[in-house]
Amino acid sequence: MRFLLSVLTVLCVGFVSPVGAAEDAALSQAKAYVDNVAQQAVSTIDETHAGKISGQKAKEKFRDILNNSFDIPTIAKFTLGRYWRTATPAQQTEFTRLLQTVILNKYADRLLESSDNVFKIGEAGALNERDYKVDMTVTPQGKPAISFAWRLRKAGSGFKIIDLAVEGVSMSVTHRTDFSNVIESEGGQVQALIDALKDKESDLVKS
Amino acid sequence: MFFSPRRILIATLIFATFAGPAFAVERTARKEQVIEVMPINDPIEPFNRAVFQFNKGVDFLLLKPATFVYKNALPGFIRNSVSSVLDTLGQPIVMLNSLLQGDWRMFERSLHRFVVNATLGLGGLNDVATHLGIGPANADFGQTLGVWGADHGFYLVLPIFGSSSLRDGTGEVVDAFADPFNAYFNNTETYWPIVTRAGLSAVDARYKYGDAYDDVMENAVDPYVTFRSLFVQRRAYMVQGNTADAYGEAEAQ
Repeated sequence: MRFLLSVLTVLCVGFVSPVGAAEDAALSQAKAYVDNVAQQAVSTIDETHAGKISGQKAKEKFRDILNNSFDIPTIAKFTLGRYWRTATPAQQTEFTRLLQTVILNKYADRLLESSDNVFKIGEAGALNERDYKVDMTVTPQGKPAISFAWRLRKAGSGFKIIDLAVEGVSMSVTHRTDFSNVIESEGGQVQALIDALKDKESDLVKS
Repeated sequence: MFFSPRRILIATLIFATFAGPAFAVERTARKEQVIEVMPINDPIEPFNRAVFQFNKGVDFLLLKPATFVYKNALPGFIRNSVSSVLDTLGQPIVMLNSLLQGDWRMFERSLHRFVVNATLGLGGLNDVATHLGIGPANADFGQTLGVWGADHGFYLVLPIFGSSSLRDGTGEVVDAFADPFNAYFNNTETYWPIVTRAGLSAVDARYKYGDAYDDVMENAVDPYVTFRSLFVQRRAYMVQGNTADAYGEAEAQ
């Protein structure tokens, strides 16, 4: 019995702990990653509201944060769903560009307009062998707290953000549903979606 | 009377609870055609789209201007008080549904919110509970039916109330009947407090979540489909909690 316990202890200490420690380290790293991105966003918002940087400069900074911390090709592939495979390489490139200019940058601009958001990093957990989830609560001034869940994917030695769920609603899934339905209603033509997004893009330029 | 509201309500409830599996079969069939994450049956889509347009008009003509006045003409502390009173009035229903769901933690939180805000918060005028670290408490009968295993049935866009389903719409009716505030004023045949509360709830919600609503309207290619997806995901999150993983489901397709 004592021998069995010793073997179990050795097994636990020798094998389980390093794995557990590595997992814990990955979770801490994931939390630190989200914390860093959020800090960058908050300091840019604060600098803009304090008049230290211009609105245009702030938008550029936000776009840099987006490009550096979000895995845009993965987001594009996911949001186009099964139509990614039927799209031509030129359509894939055009769709990725439009996703960024029409949708993602818009979210960034909206975030920039907000102020006095207090964020708090919550729990982190592994979703599968490559994806992690980091919870965060954001409390806008005078409004109820909103729960955010960031989905991170391992990329090299670090991470990239691939989705954001707000109060349980995944942004990527929502856009994927919208895009799939538009393509579906046009007989499976990816070009129909690209044209619709281009219309939105020209509306943005006009406004 | 044979067709009394209570009988209709019970019949709808039974239908919503037991018709779920039948609709689920059709749902799977639909999934084959349109690859959609967390799909919901939408057999009355043309009707729903018409109501959706109607609601958009109501928002533009009534709710948005009312919220603009609410936001700009009233000081922040009054808005906070309105929000807090509405929240306090809603807590008995939250407590009841938490119990029905077996969610003891939510029940406890709701009870604490109610007691603290009704007493120290002077009838809910001050949200003392939040300052004491007692978080928000939400639960409704549509969610309770979901926890008990009932499916949505089908998607339903309600005039003014917006996205719902057979299950959740039934839930809203049950909650409205069970609400002690409504019951008291219904019994005394004084309807203005009920109407005022409903109006203020709409403006308060528009104030809190209006930016998100406008963003979806602007960002979506087809806002109707987008709101349907938002509704299903949000309700799945409320019923299943953190285990709801729409992204994971989509990747597995």
